[in-house]
Amino acid sequence: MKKFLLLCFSFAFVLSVWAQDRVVSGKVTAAEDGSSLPGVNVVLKGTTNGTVTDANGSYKLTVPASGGGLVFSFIGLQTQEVAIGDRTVVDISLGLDVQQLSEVVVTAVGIVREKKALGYSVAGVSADQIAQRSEVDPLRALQGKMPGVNIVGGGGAPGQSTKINIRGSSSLTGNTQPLFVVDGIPFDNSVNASGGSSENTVSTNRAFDIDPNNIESLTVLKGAAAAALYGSRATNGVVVITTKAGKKNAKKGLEITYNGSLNFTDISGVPNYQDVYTQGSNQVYNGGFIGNWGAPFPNEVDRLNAQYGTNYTKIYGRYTGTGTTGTGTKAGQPYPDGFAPHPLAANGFPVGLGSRSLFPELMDAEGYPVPYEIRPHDIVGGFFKTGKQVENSINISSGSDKASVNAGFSRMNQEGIVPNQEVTRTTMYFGGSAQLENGLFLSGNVNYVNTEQQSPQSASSAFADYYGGEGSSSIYARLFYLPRNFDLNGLPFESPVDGSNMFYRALDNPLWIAKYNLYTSDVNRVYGNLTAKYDVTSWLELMVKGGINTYSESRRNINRPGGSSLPLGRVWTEDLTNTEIDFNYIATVDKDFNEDLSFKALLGFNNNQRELTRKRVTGNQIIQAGLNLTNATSQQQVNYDFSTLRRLYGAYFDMSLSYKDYLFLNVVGRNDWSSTLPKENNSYFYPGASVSFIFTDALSIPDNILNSGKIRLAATKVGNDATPYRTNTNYFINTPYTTPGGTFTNRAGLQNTLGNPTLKPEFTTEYEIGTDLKFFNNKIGLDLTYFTRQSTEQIAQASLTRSTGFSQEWVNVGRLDNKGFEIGLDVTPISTASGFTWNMYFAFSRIRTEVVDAGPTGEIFIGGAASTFGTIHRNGQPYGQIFGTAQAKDEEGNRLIDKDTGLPFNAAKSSIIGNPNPDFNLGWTNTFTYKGFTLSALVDWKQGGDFYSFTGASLVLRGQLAFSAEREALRVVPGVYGDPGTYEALLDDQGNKIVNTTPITAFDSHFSNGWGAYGADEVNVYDGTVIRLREVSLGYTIPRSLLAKTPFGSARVSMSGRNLWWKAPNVMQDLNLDPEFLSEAADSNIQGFEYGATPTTKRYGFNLSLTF
Amino acid sequence: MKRKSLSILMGVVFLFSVSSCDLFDLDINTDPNNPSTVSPALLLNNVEVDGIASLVSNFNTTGMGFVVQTDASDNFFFNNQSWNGTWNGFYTGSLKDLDELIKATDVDVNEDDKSDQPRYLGIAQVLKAYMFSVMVDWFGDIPYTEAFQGNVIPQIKTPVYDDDAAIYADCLALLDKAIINLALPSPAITGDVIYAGNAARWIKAAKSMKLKLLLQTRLVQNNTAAIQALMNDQAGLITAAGDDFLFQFSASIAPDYRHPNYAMAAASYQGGYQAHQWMYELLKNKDPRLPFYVKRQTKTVLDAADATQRQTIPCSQRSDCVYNYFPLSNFVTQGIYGKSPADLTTAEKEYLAGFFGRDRSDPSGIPDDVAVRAAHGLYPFGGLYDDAVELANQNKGRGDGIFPIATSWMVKFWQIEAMLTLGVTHPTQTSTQLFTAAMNEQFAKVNSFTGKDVGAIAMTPASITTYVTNWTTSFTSAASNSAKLAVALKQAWFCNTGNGLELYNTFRRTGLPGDLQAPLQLPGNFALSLPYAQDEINLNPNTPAKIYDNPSSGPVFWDALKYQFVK
Repeated sequence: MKKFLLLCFSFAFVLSVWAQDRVVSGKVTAAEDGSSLPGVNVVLKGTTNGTVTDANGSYKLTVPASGGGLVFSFIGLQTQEVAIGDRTVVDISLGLDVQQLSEVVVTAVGIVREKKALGYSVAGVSADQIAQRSEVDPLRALQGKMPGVNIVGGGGAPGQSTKINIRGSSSLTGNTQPLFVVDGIPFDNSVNASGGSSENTVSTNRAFDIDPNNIESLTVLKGAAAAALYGSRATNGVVVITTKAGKKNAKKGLEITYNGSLNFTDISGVPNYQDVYTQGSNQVYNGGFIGNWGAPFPNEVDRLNAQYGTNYTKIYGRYTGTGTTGTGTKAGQPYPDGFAPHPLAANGFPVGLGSRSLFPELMDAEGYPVPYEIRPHDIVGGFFKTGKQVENSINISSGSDKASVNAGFSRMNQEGIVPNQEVTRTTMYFGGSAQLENGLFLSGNVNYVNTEQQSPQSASSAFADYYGGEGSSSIYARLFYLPRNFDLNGLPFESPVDGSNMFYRALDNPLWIAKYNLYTSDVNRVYGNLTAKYDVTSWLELMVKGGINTYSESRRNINRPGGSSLPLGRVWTEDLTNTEIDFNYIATVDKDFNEDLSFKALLGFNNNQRELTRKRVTGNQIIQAGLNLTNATSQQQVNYDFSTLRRLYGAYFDMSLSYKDYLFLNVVGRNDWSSTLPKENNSYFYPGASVSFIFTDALSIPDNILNSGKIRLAATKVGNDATPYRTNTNYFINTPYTTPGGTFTNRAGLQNTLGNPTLKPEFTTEYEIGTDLKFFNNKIGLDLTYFTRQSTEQIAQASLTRSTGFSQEWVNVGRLDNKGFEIGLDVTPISTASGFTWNMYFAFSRIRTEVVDAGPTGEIFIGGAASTFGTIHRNGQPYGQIFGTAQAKDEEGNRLIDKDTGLPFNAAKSSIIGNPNPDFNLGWTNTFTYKGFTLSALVDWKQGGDFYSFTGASLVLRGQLAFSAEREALRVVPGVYGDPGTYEALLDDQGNKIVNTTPITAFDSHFSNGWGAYGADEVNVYDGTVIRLREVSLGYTIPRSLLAKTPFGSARVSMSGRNLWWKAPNVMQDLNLDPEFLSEAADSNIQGFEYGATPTTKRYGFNLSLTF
Repeated sequence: MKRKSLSILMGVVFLFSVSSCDLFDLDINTDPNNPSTVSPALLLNNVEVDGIASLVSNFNTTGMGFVVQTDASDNFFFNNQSWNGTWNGFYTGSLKDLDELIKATDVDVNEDDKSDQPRYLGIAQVLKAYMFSVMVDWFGDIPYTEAFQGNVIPQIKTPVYDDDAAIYADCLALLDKAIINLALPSPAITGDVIYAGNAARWIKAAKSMKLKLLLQTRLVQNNTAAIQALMNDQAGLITAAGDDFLFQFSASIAPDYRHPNYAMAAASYQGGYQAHQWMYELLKNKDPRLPFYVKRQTKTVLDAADATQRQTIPCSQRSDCVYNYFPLSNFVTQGIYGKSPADLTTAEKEYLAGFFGRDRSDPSGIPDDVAVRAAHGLYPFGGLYDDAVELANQNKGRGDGIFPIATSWMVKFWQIEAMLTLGVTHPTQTSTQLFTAAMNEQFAKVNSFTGKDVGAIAMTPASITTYVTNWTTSFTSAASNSAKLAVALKQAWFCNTGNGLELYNTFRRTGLPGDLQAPLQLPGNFALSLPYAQDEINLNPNTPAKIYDNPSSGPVFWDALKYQFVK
């Protein structure tokens, strides 16, 4: 930054002094905080006459006697033009210019480059665009703000993982997440999921450990060209973050900044439920069912009878047997109209029967269950609560000519919408830099983060209800489709005696789970780096930079004894540590050959090691409820205990030539040596080149319309290695068999995935062409990029015929193509002298991915909901398609109907039934500023992106949605009769197809083979198009004058909101389901499945920022 | 000054480099978490434990459903996805490890033309013959000679499907080799949880297995002489409980090594239904094994007048059931008590209410009845003895049941069938004597479970004698050999519960028991084998086309009967 300030000064000094008539003076301050701005260019419009502001932000300029205007400009701030009129004092405050900020970008290994010199596209955001926006996840705070960057949050649980894809997905089965680099050192963003969605959906991706309040700037290096120097891991792009601790400069003196915010969180959408029919099936009430296909509610009986001629009664149950007293005077009599036997006492379940003694008030004098009123309850609305989110952060920054120090502390607590769900993040950091007397420049910083997360069991409902994972004790197992007449939130959920689970059915009560069955994660992370730099000559600089980034996480997962799914209780703990060490040794040459030609070169060597250890221990049968320790269980088992170690070193160069400041050529190259590849293939080289041409400067195009124009071109290749230990096939030690006598016999088997001793590196080649144009006094800025990317020789797990003895093998296969457009359009329609500006920024991306070659079998099945229902890569298709069953159809596309049942049946073979990749993404940010006020609103639009909704499928199946309240009349499924054995249409005597006329009930239509979860998979696939008000913020910077008597240097208050409104027009009516979700954790390649877990949330609140 | 700074910088570089010198060592890609070689004992144990457990959890349950003991897969409605996981699990799991075990032990370093590990090899050969004959029994043609070549050079990625008859023939050859290998001197065997390394017992198992395979193929080839030879060598066969070839599950919950049929029902009782016919006939015959076989969870008689309870009542939505809800079913109450439901005493009604199950292939929805369904009892799954009505959930049983593969009584039933159909003879005993002995041996096995549940009461010798005598009388009074076989195999249906593989094979071979209830619905016809796996069809073009319930392509080579329901 300092360099550029100097650059600006030098420009100012060359300006010649001109004919003078009068002197204008004034002061330039920052709109953001009112501080004075030194070094601002002040130029008389249309001339080269100008000056720069001094250390106090003051300037003096001689101007013609009348008229004229002043142009104030400064890198990173919005350029402003002011008419002088007859004033002699012109004070002005400059607001931040988001787009201009990226005039200077941090590229590979901390190199700062002017944006105009770059032959490739980068995107950046500044601190104020991500902090204080009601969003504590640094990745989600970026949503919609950068073209080419697609960010999807996993759901609304505090800390739940977030997926980020830059320019699509470059790997079929491997990692598609970009590399994170924080203050020059790689920052692990793994999820390390435990068990996936069948066990847990709330795991965090570790970039969450970065507090948005502590981010100074963030740059996304989208293409391979930008990323080549980071080496193998940059294939998926790089997110470069400079933290406040790692910031090199500080204002002179002492500055203390405080940021605080208070936000509230609510569920973002609740389905429209039907409240016409009760629990049961075939229009008969049954207090033990889950589905809502029972009799009408009492207040609907008369209406339905009148309308349909049905003969429903208001009797929902009879007194049966003789009661516990044996007198049985009521035996056979109905319960009072509108009442049923109390579900906690009536149902034949251990828990229900048990509650008779626990809750004597549920039994009448003769020992019959007391009457229970049949009426609808707001189950979901009553279960979720308003969460609260509190953030406080303090940054202390101090600097002198030679040294600067940054230190800070921040703490964030976010409560979820589910009881006992929260995340707390505490950060401390200290960083500094000093120019030593001997010419050595030293800088370094150290950060400590503690992230604690807690959540009730949150396995997704798909795995609880249909695929039988661990999810049977998950709050989401059946929460969204419990019977409408079951008063979940009003009835007891635990035994008053021993706290064990109470429910109407042999399942775990969501409230009981939320109270007792908690998952916790505690992460301690330390990262820091040390840099020493020395200028050997004016053109040669040597630098060494080393850093470490390590975290340990302990997880604990509790299933209290007394539940239904794990009656004896269980606790498991997992400990993992991840440590990354990274060194860079860099020599930089910076030489101007003559005025026109300058040369920069960088020669570097990088050395990196990553080590991961994980251990999980399960204790079964908790001995004393509440004592959730593995050693306080009857049986313990070590599930796994492993470590992986990988190393990589690389040598690289980066050379740039610039000609006349309008033509820039950049050539890079790197050779890596990786430990994860076989020795003979472990060295691989990859080059890149890019050109930037400022044609407006070169061709001296007049700037009355087009102010500046640039064309960029880049071609780069990036190589990538494998994950560790893929070159061999090993045996595995199995859990010993426990004989009936209690002794252990040891066992081992051969792994199912074949290693490959001849594995080669994989490569991604990318070509990109783009232009940056600025029109009408920079009022319109266009950043347009087209890229095409080809990933070949992919290191992937290919499916094998299982009769080979193996299910998969590691191979170099295939080809995956990504191509797309990215458009960043910055428009300032209004900018008045009075200080009102309206700025719009559009971030558009349209990315197409095609699996060209998925290996010898032409397809790779990734997995998902079941072994035959999930995500598939298939030749000629887009990346990661939804593969599942479809309804049988004849060659003309008529749905085939089974004559006996009147229902469709499934086609013989599964097929691709949806494309989860969006057609395009558009983020539209509007920013209005006036005096100290700033209002900004981000609307984003995702077009397309199919998904299978288990929530939808379940709600249809269970007769829950409002539209399914119409169920008296029979219906006929459109289609023709077909033979379920031959999958061909049946023909009548004349050889014509026969149109289906077999009527079915609403229940049949939504149950087996119909339109619910038991029907063909394709019927529950929806188009996930969604338009959303992603972010709104209204802020006010209190004028300095009002703060004069306070200790505050500046003060800003704001209100912000996230996800306040959204509309998904093509998702099933009444479902109100936000199509933003992750199928699995962020590092999974499974996509397009909404498994039914934590819904998304909306947030709103207040923020305060103060400096002292 | 400059030089000093430069040397400081170099010093830092040097320090970093020294402290990180092993950062340059790239030879670290040997997996530290998994071994590259393992001993035969570890593989053998894995094959026995995983292989048998997966046979039980997949085929056993289904086989019992096919012959109307449970409702498992009793609608015979399958597609290529149905057995995908099973197929994949076998080929990439226990069958592959078995192949690894054979590769590892069929080596002859000292060149004496014998394996250096003859007993491990022999055991592996017996297990291979057993498991592959089972795979043939259920799938027909399968990859065999070219299977498990994924990790050898040249790699075979699309193994051919071998003719099922040829695989059976090779299984018999393997058993002959095993008998030779097991007799060779060898160091002690560890890891064998079936016979604890006892070679003599493995030889008996091998010979009994030969008998089983020869009997299974008796309708398509002439095995009379070979069977007679095996029967002449009675000492070579499994004739007493001590030699029984069976897998004994343990009571360990975590890791869960309980009998799979028990384990899946143990926590919350979500097990399937038992068939009404099965329970009715146990009741009607006054079978002393009934409290070992079936555990009642309820004595509440559901009220058909109450709409809610009526939904829970079996067959309440249907008119075509034979057995219906026992306390309200005239057919059942007449058959068992000789009176109509209205005349039953409360105790009788409450007793019958506990035998809550399903008629064959009842397609009705599943009501909320897990707490009232009759649960599997103490034998053979290790559940609860039916001493009192109680919920069978919450892991109350131990689960240390058995999976009988070739027990003394099973070997006797095979010999009875051979004697009645092929005219072979037993050196010392008549078929009647064998039949009586088979029943007594199976009763003894059931009685041996008494210790597994504190409430269990052993069957009295008197009750056993009464029952066995009745059946022996039926057997002797049967007019023809085929009538005798019908009696014997009906009894085998009761005795061999817990081995659905055996029951399904017997039915396809003989059509017995011939009095199984007709299914209430027929979405698929009787399964003559299982459809191939989806993944295999997708990835291996050699996979034959087959319609599993069609007599033209469904049957296994030994199936001369090709049984089909009349639609």
